[in-house]
Amino acid sequence: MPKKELMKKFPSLKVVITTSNERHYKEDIEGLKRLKINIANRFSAGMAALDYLKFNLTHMVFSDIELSDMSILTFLRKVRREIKNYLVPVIVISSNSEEGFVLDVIAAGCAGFIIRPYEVTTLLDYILYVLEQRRFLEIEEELINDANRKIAAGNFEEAIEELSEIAEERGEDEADSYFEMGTEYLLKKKYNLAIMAFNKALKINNVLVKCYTGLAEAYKGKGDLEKYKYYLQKAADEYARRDNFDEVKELFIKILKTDPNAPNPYNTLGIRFRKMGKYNLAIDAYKQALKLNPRDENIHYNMAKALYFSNRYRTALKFLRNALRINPDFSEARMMEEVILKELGEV
Amino acid sequence: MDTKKNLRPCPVCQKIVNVEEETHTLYDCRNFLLTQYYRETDPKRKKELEEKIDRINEKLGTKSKNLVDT
Repeated sequence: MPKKELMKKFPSLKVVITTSNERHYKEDIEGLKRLKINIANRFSAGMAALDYLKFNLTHMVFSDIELSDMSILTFLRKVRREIKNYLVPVIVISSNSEEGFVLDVIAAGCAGFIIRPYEVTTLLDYILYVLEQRRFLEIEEELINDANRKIAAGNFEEAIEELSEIAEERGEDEADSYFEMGTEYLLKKKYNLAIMAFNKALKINNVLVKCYTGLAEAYKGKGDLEKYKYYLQKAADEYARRDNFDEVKELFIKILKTDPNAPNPYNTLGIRFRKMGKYNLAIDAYKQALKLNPRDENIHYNMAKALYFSNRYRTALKFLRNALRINPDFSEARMMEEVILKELGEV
Repeated sequence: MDTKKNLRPCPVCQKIVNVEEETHTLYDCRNFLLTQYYRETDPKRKKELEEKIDRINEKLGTKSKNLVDT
């Protein structure tokens, strides 16, 4: 949609400001007024803002990093975890632009990051960006609402057809691809693009949760309890994926901060997850690691180890053999190969 | 058992190792040095670490600067 069209929507937007700093509040409200945006509410405390957001649909929040009762990072995490019925984009306005802090804010889940002092045009860019983001999957969300209305009216067949179509079109892979894109942008220090990609992954995930929940309800209505359970599980899987996104993002950023010169942070991430017993997350991290260094025998070995721990012996062997092809003197890989062959009874 | 008596610095990487309870191979030395290398900001110290890692890598037949899951 052209910029002018989007700007026509500004007066009807429900925008909240959170800050405990009076000077910052005056600056921010001044900027928003110049863009003809009215503030629905202002909060000094994060907790009060959270209570408001839970019960009042809000299009976007501009949050200062100064809040009276919690850090901005806690506030962002609480918004993500406690507001379940819709996604609230929080744009952080910060006087701290240190790289480590920016990364922490991204890890906590901001929708944008503006550095003080800022021009009103910067503010405008972010608002337009959030509105554009809202339009991403807008049609799907409308279709889901429509399907939910059909479920309420007892028209289960049509609802199932519509929801299945959306779920099929917006598969889990798309969310994963956006998420991977986000981590790649982090590596390249393109932080705004990383935020955009993470938000898209989250939005797809959110649409899938709604689809699967709707499908479960529709099948329940039809009396098909098997399919009801199946789609409830799919919805639960999507919730788990969202938690995984959060966990991977936070740990990845921690690694980027603590080991800034690690040649392949995905490899370090994989090792951490393997040691935590989260083998599938480790395997996903190694897949990414191998994209960066496909000829690194150590990563092939690490992948094999994660696969071994998740009892996928055959695939583990494949990666061990890759490692040994690259480095025939790799003693640890040779030892693990023997262990696996014994497990498979092939010695 | 007196744990302190079992603690020794590794002659290769200087990591303090509990010789009774901890396995410590050349891969562990390499990981220990690599982790320091990733975090080191002083160019002189970084170079020294790199030289040590390169010596270990030569023995292990690798050129990689990525950690091994030990």
